Amino acid sequence: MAPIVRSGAQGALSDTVTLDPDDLARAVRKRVLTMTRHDVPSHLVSALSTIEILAAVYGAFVDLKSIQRRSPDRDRVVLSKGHAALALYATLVECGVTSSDSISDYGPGARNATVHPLCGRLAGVEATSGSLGHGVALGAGMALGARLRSFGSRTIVILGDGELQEGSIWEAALLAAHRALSQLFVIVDLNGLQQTGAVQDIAGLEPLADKWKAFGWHVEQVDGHDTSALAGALRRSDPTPKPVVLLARTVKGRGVPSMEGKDGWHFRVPGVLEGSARA
Amino acid sequence: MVGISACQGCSRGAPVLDGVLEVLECELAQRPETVVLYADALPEGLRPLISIDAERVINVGIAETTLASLAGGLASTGLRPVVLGLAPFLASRAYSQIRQDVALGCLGVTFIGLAGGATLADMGPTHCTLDDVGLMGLQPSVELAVARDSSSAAALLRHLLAIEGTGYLRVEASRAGAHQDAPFGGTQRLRDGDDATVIVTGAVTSDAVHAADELGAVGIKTGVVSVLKLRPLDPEPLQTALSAGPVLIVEEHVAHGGLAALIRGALPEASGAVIGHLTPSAYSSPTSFSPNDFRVDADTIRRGVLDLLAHPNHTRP
Repeated sequence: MAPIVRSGAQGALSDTVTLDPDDLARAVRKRVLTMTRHDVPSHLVSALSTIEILAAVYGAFVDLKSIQRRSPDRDRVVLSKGHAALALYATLVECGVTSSDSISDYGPGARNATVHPLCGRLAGVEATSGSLGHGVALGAGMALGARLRSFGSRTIVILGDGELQEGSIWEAALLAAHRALSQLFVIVDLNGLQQTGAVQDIAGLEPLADKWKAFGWHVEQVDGHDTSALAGALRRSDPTPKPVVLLARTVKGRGVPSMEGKDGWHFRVPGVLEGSARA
Repeated sequence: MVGISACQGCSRGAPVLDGVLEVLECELAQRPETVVLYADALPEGLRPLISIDAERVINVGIAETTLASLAGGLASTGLRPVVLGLAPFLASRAYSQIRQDVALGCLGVTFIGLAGGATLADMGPTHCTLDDVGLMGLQPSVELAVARDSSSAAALLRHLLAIEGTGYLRVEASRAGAHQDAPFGGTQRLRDGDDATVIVTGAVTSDAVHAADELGAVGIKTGVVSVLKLRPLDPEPLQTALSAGPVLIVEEHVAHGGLAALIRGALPEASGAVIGHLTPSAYSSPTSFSPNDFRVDADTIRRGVLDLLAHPNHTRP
């Protein structure tokens, strides 16, 4: 399956990479479903809810060339909800940052495409993640480092909503606002479900926007499957003096009707994907 | 004398921190990539750092997990973070962050556990640190070091700042009679003697030397080997000691993951040697809250050597 962005002769992206985030999302969803294996705990539904978020970030916000080159002053994307690694790998391939060959080992025992991301293996995988609740502090360090080094780059952290139950998120949120880390962008994938049920039934988050505002963040609320809205909110927030959080309402399992918004699929992979994935 | 004060208002002298301060002042002045982080607990002896560079000496607040993750993020941008944390809280509170955000990526971050061991024993068991080396050592990529005095703290810190990966330095309070004059090495023989050898790490080294001198005065020639770098170990002096006769390993640390465990793991000859292991009695009496139960002193070491020599598997030549 050819990625939608084709790299040059040495695998380098061309100088003018332009992507339609909707095209990117469609290609990523197809690749995610193709890569899903029955012997891998892929967290498929968590990956599916994140795809448009990744498509908006990679397709319309960050500088892909510097990410591919691993330039010190690159934009950095931290997938704090590491269980959605499948979506990250598929995105990196489809936008040309890495090759499909490089993630062909996806699964247990992989060197590159580990079930949860390991930093340093693939261009674009900026953080090791799996244990939840680390991303905001790690991203704050990246944003602070970029400021100290006068890079002008941005750090984007993608969180799950159940992950917000980790206290370390709020510890770091406090510091990021105090330090006015305006180049730190957090996107919360609000799919409403966690491993054992609905977030609101386990440890509810609402009023979530008020909580982030109270911590000193600039808050935007968007449809997490609308790439234009996501990209617009990121660009609109770019000049604010505060760290930014996008609360992105999503549907867990988006694109596979039999799994959409249903509890119980967190770890499961269907025997046969019922129906075809919605493009 | 207790040498590290951890709380504002405590002023009990801080000679061991002189070495840390000297190195960090130099690093901040000479290497623009150096960043010093702390979680609001900065001993008096290190307060001069704050005035050196307000941008690169960062107080993250009382937030050890953020402290560790932030260091990982800073390191990924090419900066060189030095993390100052109180040993009782650093590794235990932020273990997941140290593991995932720093050590798994072998990032260049130096963690310094201040007031380790029994330094803060007067404040109760919550402030004693008998497990930090073991916790940090669970990550195989982390280099481990324990200072015994100011000069070794400086030398070890310079070494850890020169490596590419992650390092941990435990700093304790200096004790009276601390040996500052020996040249730096990962392992040093401070006293010769082949009736028995004490292998020791940390500030308690000066107690071991004192005990060896007392034993020598009654005709028991006791060697003292000081271990500063616990991983990687410098094997040669340890192998020599293990082959010479009975060995008493002394540390203010629990058995799990400490010096004795690291020696046994790294040196096969340790399994055949007669080894005693002296740790604070609090480890065997978990309900004890006396400060002295978290310390090892010269008299305990002296008695430990005598007990070892009386061991039925040991035959004095």
